[in-house]
Amino acid sequence: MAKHFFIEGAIKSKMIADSITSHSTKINIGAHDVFLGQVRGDLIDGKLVKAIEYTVYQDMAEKELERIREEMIHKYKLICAHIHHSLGIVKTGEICMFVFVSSIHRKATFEACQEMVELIKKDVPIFGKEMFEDGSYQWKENQ
Amino acid sequence: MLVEDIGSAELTMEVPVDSNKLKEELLDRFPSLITRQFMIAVNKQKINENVTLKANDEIALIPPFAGG
Repeated sequence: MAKHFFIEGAIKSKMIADSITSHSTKINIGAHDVFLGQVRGDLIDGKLVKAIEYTVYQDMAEKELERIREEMIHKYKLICAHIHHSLGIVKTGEICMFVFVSSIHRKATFEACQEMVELIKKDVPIFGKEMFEDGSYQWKENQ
Repeated sequence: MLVEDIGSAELTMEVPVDSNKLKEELLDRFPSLITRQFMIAVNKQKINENVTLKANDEIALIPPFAGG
């Protein structure tokens, strides 16, 4: 599961639900934390973002994601951790990232989930083209 | 993004002695790159300082990240 970081198109709610359900057999888990990134319909210079097209420098991105995942599991003693990110076009309002961490107690999951999301945004070479309603676009940059 | 300046996704070139020299050569060949923000990765590793380059190193010009 850990290697399947990238998904073509939006992340569907069924996948998120199925992922939660699949943990019911791991009875040492006492807490999950989930982060969902959603494509925002920003208004930029009077033009509305209707979608983001994601591309990736895949080999480096997978290496970085694996490193982040392993570091967080080790640092917070997580029972498991999963990261999924969309590639290709994701429309405004759809989900483009799903981070899911599980541990014995809640505190580790809150902290690990937050740190993991920040590291993904900072270190993973994923690129986003913000596509406007009029057909023009601009490249997005994480704050 | 950078492909729009360079005109292709891949480029094979004589090995510059180091990453600073590489950057100079790229800016010479593709002057519009000067307006872009990018980092350099050597063999899938981001570099933060000048490094020596060898034949067959994989160099990537990496635009700002937008994941999440």
